[in-house]
Amino acid sequence: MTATRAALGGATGFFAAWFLSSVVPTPLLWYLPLAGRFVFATVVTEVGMDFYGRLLLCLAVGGGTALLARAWRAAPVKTLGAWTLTTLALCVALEVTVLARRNPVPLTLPATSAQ
Amino acid sequence: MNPRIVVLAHAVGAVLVSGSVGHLGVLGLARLLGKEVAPGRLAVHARNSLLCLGLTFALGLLAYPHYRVYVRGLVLDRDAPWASNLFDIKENLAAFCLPLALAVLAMERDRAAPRLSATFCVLLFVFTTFVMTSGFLVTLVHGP
Repeated sequence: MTATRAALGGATGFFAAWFLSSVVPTPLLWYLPLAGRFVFATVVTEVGMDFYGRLLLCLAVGGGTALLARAWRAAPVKTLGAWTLTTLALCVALEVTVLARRNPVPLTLPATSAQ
Repeated sequence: MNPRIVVLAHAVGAVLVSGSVGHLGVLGLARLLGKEVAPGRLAVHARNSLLCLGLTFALGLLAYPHYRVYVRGLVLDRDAPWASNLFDIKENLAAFCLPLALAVLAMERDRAAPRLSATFCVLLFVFTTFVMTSGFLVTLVHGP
């Protein structure tokens, strides 16, 4: 049961961190593909990807909550499972709602000289 | 590394994921319908699924910067914003599959909460099917 508690606790932490970092402005590690470097910021003004940073944050939080759940020997597996499903449902609902209505801004190509 | 090779390997990984998670989905559904499914059998498929998911996800992460600039930034955001949004939904759902697969593996090895584990198996199957279908749809979009 130890591994089960740790896995469910870790998954709950992962999903909770994903949800909270998506709704609350959170400083994350961003990768700027045009500049080829990482920055730590809440928002960036150029083309950036926060996916790596969000993933790292959620893995770290999930690792922490996995350790907590592993140590909490009285934790009922069904309750942890219910938390996992609830936080997962929140994440899925949030991502689908936000991304389905997003209006992405395309990159502009550099101007070329007239021939 | 050549992004085309990485994306091709990513697609091959997706085929492996569909096979391994397909087994999980069928066995999970069978258990939810009341049929006897041995935990050892599900544990083997959960381990395989986790390996395939992890490998395919890592390849996707490698290809992502090239996609973000040359595919999404220059083509999809301008010509097919629906595909751009669909891709990001798929990418997030793919990330959600990893903790789920890990939880299934742990529950099957511990022989704990069989119905919860089966529910996770079916969810994994639904998510990965959506992810693969979306990925395929997005690759059908071409620039002008």
